[in-house]
Amino acid sequence: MSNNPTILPKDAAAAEGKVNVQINGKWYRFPKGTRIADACNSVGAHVPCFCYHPKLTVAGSCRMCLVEQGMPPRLAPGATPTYGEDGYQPIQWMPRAIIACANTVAENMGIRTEGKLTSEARRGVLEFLLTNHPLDCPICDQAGECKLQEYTSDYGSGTHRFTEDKTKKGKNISIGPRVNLDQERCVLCRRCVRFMKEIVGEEVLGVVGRGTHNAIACYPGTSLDSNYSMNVVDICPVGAMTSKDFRFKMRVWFLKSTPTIDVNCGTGTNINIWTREQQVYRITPRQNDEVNSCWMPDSHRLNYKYINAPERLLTPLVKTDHGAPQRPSTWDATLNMVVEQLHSCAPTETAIICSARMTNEELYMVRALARQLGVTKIDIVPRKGENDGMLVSDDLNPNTNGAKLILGKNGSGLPAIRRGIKNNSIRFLIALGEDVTKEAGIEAEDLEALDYILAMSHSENATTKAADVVLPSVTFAEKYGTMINVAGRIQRLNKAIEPQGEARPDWDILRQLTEQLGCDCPRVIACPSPMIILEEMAQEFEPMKGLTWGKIGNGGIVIMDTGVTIPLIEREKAKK
Amino acid sequence: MSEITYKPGKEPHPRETRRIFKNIDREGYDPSIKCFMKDGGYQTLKKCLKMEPADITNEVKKSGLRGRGGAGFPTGVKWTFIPKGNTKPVYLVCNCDESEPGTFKDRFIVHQDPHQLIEGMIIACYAVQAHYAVIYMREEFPEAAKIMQKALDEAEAKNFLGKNIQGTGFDLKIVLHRGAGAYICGEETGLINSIEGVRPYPRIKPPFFPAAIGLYGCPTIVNNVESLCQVRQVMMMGGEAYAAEGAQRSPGTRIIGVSGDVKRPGVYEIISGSITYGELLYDICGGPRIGRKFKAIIPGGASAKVMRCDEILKDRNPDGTVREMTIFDVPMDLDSIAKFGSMSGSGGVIVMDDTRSMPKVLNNLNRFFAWESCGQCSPCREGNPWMYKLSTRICEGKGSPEDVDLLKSVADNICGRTVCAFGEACSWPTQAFTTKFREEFLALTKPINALKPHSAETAEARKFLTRED
Amino acid sequence: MSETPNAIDAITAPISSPGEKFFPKFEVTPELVAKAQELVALYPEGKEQSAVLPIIHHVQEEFGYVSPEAMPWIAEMCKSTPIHVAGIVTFYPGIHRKCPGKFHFRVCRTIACALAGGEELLPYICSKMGVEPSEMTDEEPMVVSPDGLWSLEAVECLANCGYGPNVMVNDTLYSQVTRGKIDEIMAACKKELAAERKEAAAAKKEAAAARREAKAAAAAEATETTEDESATKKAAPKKKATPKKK
Repeated sequence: MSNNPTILPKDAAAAEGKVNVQINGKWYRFPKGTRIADACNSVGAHVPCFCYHPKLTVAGSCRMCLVEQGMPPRLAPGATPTYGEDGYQPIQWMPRAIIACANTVAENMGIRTEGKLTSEARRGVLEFLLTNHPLDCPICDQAGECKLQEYTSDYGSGTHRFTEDKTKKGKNISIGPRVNLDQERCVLCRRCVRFMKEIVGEEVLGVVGRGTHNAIACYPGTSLDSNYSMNVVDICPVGAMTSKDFRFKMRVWFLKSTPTIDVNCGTGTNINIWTREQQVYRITPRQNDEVNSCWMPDSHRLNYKYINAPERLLTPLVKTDHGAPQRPSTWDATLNMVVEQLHSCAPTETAIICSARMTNEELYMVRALARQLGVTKIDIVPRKGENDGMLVSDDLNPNTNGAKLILGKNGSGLPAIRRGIKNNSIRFLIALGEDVTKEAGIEAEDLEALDYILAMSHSENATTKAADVVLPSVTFAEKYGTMINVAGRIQRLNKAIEPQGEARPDWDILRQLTEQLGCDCPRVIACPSPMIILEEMAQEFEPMKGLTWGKIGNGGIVIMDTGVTIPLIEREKAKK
Repeated sequence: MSEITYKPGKEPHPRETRRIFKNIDREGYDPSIKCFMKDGGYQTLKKCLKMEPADITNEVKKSGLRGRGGAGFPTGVKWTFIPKGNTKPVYLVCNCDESEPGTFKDRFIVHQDPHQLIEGMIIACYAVQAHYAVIYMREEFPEAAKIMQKALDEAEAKNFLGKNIQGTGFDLKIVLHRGAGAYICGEETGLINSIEGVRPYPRIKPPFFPAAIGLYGCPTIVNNVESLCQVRQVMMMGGEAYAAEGAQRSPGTRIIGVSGDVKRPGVYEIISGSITYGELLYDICGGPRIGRKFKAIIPGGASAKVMRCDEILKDRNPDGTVREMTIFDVPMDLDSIAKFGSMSGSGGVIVMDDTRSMPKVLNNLNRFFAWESCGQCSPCREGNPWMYKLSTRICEGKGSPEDVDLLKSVADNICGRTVCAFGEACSWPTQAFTTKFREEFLALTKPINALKPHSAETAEARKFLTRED
Repeated sequence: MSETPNAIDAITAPISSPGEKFFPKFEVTPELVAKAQELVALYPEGKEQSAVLPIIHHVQEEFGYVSPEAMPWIAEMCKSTPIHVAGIVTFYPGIHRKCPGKFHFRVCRTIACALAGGEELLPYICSKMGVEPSEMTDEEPMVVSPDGLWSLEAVECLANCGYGPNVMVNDTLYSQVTRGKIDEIMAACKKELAAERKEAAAAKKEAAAARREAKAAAAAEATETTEDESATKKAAPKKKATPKKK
């Protein structure tokens, strides 16, 4: 205790470019310019918000985030401030609550997120928002993750006082090919309007009407058809914007979410997969400010139906004779058969077409297999698309950088393999995770002419149909692994559901096959999991040096400089 | 200067002091620039253009002139809020959206004496170095829009507007922008949004204080029509002379509009604080209609809290003794009435006599506010229709005594929690009416109208549902 | 099929009104575009959106109301989007989405005028116009008489509170209005209409005469090609005279 502290907290904070803020009686330090809402939430003093979204401009209109605020008393001219024993000035509390989203922290500011002033304000705002709300929670898709529901439960009144007629608005309007709008559930936070205007750059949504008749709308004849439209469903705090795909499919509280990444392009958008009992119900973006911010394209989001589709391969399939029909078999019998068959394939006449959709761990095992077989004709299938200037990369493979690093391949060897098949210098083909009749450009008749095809795939396709042996593998939702995105960031895939039927993870199939083919390298055959494979790779590949599963974390780590950036992220950073 | 005569029946009351309204209803006066200049118009501007802009601001600060739009903020101080070292253009906006019910002063200026406003605007623009200004005129003044546009053209022809005004090198363009019938556009940031062509939602403050981030994101000064005319008056009289007249904290003249139940409603220009509400209503306006008594007064536009005429107001004398008075003893300046919980706002006095049902008056106001709420923020958007529905139900005799408390409680939940001052404007009437005339509201209600819980069990269950904190 | 449009389609669903016969149908003409560009030029560069209200006002003056077809055009003129314009149009009560009558009555119903008896005028005006007061709702505040001559709207404060009840008929404000004054105003409106019609009929007649003459001249021209020049000379001043007459 000292009346003359050597250095005042304000000066200490200022030296770091920070300010001291008292939140619910405790002092914290925040960088200047931090929003009060963010500051409070970061120290566990929860501030409820509807309209505030950190990625959008501040609207300040829902009035849910009202907090009690105080500042040191204003000094008379010439007077010097007084400091308490703790080195802080006394706080004079304001009689009026302020919104925590629009205001930023200041030196010696006091905030109370609890107490009469805020609890009354919150209860009042919630009561207003519920007056004209249809209260149709039992059939609302948002129920369970609805902010209005959550805050009412946390801060609302248990009874209702509104007995008048409600304002009628539009219900269940198809506002776009993938989104439905219920204007009565809307709290008019305008997050959707701001998202479309500020992030997508298309002013398709707006507010029409006035006062109590205000409603979100698009102009008749236009629709919310952007490839990013479903993000409005995510950011809608209530059930006003709902996904047509997910509508009435499942109560959200039954769903388990698994953090993983998207595999539809090289961006590697961070996502959550929502599942129940081995069934995928929806995919939502997961915030990663270095990869996809809070968003994801609809095209990627909806590309999950194949996981639980009837086309999935559930058991190994074998042909007893070349030309005979495929029949299901057991794993043991199949693998034994494959080993025998592969032994008889001349390595110079064998090619492996694998995939940059595979994880690093799978590619590592592909390399081990190729080495074991002595096959040198190996490559991936490149996929080029168009960069949409947002999140969709022009590289439609999620792990091109991994293939380059591990196999040293980028698809340039594919034409030679294609020619080899055509001119019969390649007679045996191992197709791993690719339908070679598609982007690889191998014609069906050439496939027919091959002496032997081994296919590993999670779903039936032209290649598996032509194959002598089919090994059922898994989709991205059923496995662990890592991939390196276009910007050189290594990210983790997590298993959300168990493999379907008897399908096995690709890395495990390849490991076992390699082992049975006679490999005795412990660094391959002793790997019990992708996490251990990663550690093996970390010893071999310079960029992966020191990596472990844990170190990558849910946000990933940049391990190489590719010179490639993600346009949306660059824009977001430039805005700051 | 020749003797001023007024049109028959439009003569000013002897207790009036006509400055801004000097030419209103004046015999032989028309809105032309010729008429205005014959009367000494634009001479003040010429004088001002020879001064340093900062000196004009200082003069206005010295005058103690306070804004006449309702909030009463010192005009000169407002001008100094433009950030130091600003490099963006500065804009000036004249708020001619006169829309507070009970207020009808600006209409006379823009219809009959437009050049007075234009001169005041040019002076203000020069003081804050604005080269682009907008007159935001409400849509309900179509004739005034034509008159004002003509006046602007005349002023430009005489080089009081346009490039290199009077050879001083000062450029100024004034654009007339018409609203479309929205009360919220009287709120300065709503008005700015309306000019920008977006929905006129008021902006959040902070950060959008117009003097810092206003029209097109640039520093913007928004002043009321009367305020800008008063600026001209200040520069004509000199700041000190202006400050010496009228109430110490709100000097100058004020234009008061009286409507409702008085014998002679109308607009009157008085020296601020020179008369009391009683003198205004009895002497100038002739008192109540025959056989009636004054019952209530809304002293400053529809959103000001209503005052009962029989209310005993307690004021403290300088020596500490308490003095009892009624609304009729309160002087008509900007601050006196605020001591008793109301405000003198935009100077619109609405009077109700003993034949009026106060719940019905409130219901009319609630309809106005429910209709005019822009709907941006939750409490105002949802609270106003609720208040209107409640007061309607009470007026129809379908309310219960609890509904009166509920009505007041809804107002309490809006007040102080909205984006803009509309939240206060709409809740003050309800708070004041239900408190001060509670017995009238209760008289319309029936206990039998109260909502009953369906059964004893529900009542019991409600107890568990209700929070205790 | 006459399904009621959903809340979004309703934004541009046409609302038919008998008033339409007194106004031209919305049409984009070079003059209209020039006027819009002139209004846009009033505002600083890059701030075209500011002109949205002025353009709407102009459209309303010319065509009586902002029809669904006008909204995308307005958006184009002020470099905005149709939904943005719809947001503006649906916000302001001063912007009509339905064509008013030839004479549009706005009756103030706010406190001061209400104290002066403004609201009591509404049923009277309704009966004079031949419309039902119950047709005036929050969503559709304007009623138009079946003959399209009259329309009525209860509005909030017209800012002439000391002299209520106030009624605006088109651009003219009438204060201290009584039932008798309503009768007078409506009679004056009818007189104005009759005068206008008479003038229009005369103009039409003259135009027809001019057309006939031109036709005759053209016929003469066809037979006597040598007189070609003199015929056009004769016809030309006549044609010009018609619109200039007033």
